[in-house]
Amino acid sequence: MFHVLNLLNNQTINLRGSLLGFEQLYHFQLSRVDEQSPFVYLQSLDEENIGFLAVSPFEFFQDFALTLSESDKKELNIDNPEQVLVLGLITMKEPFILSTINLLAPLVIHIEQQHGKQIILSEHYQAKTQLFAQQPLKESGE
Amino acid sequence: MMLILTRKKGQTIVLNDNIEIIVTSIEGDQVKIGINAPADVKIYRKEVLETIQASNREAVQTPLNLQQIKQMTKKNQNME
Repeated sequence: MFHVLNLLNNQTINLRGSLLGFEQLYHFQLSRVDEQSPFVYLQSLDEENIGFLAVSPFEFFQDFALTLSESDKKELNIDNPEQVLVLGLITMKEPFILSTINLLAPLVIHIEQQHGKQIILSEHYQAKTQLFAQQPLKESGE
Repeated sequence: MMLILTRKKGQTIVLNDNIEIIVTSIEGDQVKIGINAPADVKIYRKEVLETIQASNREAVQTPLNLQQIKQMTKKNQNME
């Protein structure tokens, strides 16, 4: 996992206007938040005030699964799951442990070709899933 | 521009030669609609798209927050 993140660290990903509500944004620079963490920051290169925190859903949800449609595979040039990095956008909350992740519409990125898109999964995934739902809270939260 | 048509139960509308929209049942204020379309035609409930848009907007961070993000994600690792 970190190997893939290192490959893409500081690279530009073309999301081709696929982020719903941000159709004007194409290019994002991906950077790792820090070396020990699976989180990445996606900084828009089209609008400097827009960025997103993201993480692979597979890091947090063991039963997360995703099937790409034939048309998405064709569009993204994907024929093998190994070519793909999946990222869920995070809505940060204070404290951070209450943050949510968008599992309904993850980003699917072709690692080598550095393009991707936000795809919409079946409706049993939520746009705001508690990121730490499957981990015991070690400190009492709210 | 919006086209408005009247259809009865069982009647169909055809879009673009390859998409069929069929009114399959009507009960009170609920309508069941069947859609025959090629696999690459994307069909979503509009609320789903709006939910994702709203979630994307809420997820926006600014570069100014980046330092704070580093601290917050780090703090979280220490807790594990």
